[in-house]
Amino acid sequence: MTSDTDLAWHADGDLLAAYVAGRTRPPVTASVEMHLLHCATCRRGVDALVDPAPLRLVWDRVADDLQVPRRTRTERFAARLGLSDRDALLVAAAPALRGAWLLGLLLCLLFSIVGVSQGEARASLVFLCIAPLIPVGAVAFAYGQDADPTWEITLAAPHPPLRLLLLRAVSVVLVALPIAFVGAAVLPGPPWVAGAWLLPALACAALTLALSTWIPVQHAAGATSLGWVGAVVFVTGPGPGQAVAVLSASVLPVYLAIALAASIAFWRRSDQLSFLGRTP
Amino acid sequence: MNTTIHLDGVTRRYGSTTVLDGLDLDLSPGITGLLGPNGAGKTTLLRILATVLAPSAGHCRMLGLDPDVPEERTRIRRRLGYLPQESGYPRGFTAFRFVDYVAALKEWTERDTRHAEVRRVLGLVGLSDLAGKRMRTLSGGQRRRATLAQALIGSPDLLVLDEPTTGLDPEQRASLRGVLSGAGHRSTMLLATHQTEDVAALCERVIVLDAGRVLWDGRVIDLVATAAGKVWLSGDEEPAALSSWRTGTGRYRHVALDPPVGVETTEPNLEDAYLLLRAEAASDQVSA
Repeated sequence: MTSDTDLAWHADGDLLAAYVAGRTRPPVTASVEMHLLHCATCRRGVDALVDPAPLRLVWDRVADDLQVPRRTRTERFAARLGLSDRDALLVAAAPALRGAWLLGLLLCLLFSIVGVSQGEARASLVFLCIAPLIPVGAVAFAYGQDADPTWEITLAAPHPPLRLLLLRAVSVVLVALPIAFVGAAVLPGPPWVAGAWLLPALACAALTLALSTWIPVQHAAGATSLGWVGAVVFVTGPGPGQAVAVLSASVLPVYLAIALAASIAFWRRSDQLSFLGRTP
Repeated sequence: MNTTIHLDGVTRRYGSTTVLDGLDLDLSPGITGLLGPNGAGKTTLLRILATVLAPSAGHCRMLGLDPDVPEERTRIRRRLGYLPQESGYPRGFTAFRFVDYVAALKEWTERDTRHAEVRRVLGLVGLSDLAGKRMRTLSGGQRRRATLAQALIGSPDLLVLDEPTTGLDPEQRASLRGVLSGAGHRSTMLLATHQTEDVAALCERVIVLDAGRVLWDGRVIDLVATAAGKVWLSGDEEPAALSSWRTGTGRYRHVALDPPVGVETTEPNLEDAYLLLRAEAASDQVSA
């Protein structure tokens, strides 16, 4: 670029004002533009005449286009569920393991559904073991120091951890739930069985949440899952066809009671989620 | 001076191990350095000040608020910037998206203003040109700067930084000192580090922690002054000294609690004073 001193003339204030206002004829505009490329003095003159706010806006848009990455699949999905742009981002930043876990779970569910519809007795056992654990996994991969690499930073931010956990867990449950409903619909037994599995699912989720206020959430999820699978296998006994007995009318109130008690315990202790580790 | 942080008998135990032992501390606006060996309790103290860890005993007040009360804790978090000692990032995130995510957690709901703030803090740490790069592909120092950028979102009143200059090269450290000193003028900043040069360059006050207790709390120049007369130069090695090494000029530089009489003493620095302070504490413990 030529230095200022080499230039024979400078545009006067009136000409620059006309140029900035767009009142100059095309040949003059072109000539001023060519001159500005080489003349720092006149560029400063233009600077003083231009309102920086709209320029900054244009620049921000350009920077946004260059720097803001395209929304991830998770973000687009979360936005489709009706979440705001910000909440979609919060869901997308959830622990990475979750995707692999969800895919594995859905495949297991699908296989067991095919089995159940073919009249395979063991398939009901598998389905009943897995389906109520969907929300447990959703909770386990939603938060906590072991699952979320940014958890310490997340805790120091004012956003309520409980809201973050629910946003993430519910978005996973919403993906898996429709498939589980299809599976439940083909289970043997009276029609209400198709909805009854939601009660143990609720109890397991509430139990995981409540336990997570004492022990790390992944341990809580592991303990709950073991407990549930153990209960199903115990009830089933030697005949795999008996698995549906875990949904018999007599035990459903037990799940409801567990869900209620665990929810109350969690609610009373949910402030523990605000800290790393347990408060002594 | 107005106190922003007041700690009263703060103790933190993990099982039977006491990491912080009845700490009393007041912090005011400005930059305070926190020095101490590994395991002295620096990170635990910083976590308590960042409200992510609750003390086992004792009481804190920050910005006039009580972190034990959930609503007041949230109000503290609104005015807090925290850089943990170690932090990861969500998989696949770019530097921009990572900082954007933390800004979203910090209640920057409106997208355009949030993005403008993210650009500002990335610019502060010198990462504007790398904002679109994935965190995974950045160098350790660049990732550290991106993590520091999130702490600066919204120019917080309270900055708690755990080893912000770890992994940075000399130019990056120098430019970061500019950023930190600028931020420190407006806020209360506690900066834990192993780099005594950073403390000497940035902080007016320094706190030395050892085994969960405060070994020194005062002005940096006063701590350096305690080492006067205890650092000297000579032509030979000095095995009895705390530290002794051959400098580039070929002469040996020694630091010791009791230097021999008549030696050619030299200007001490903060590191010398820190070593002497620790050695004195250790010898006190032995004699006690």
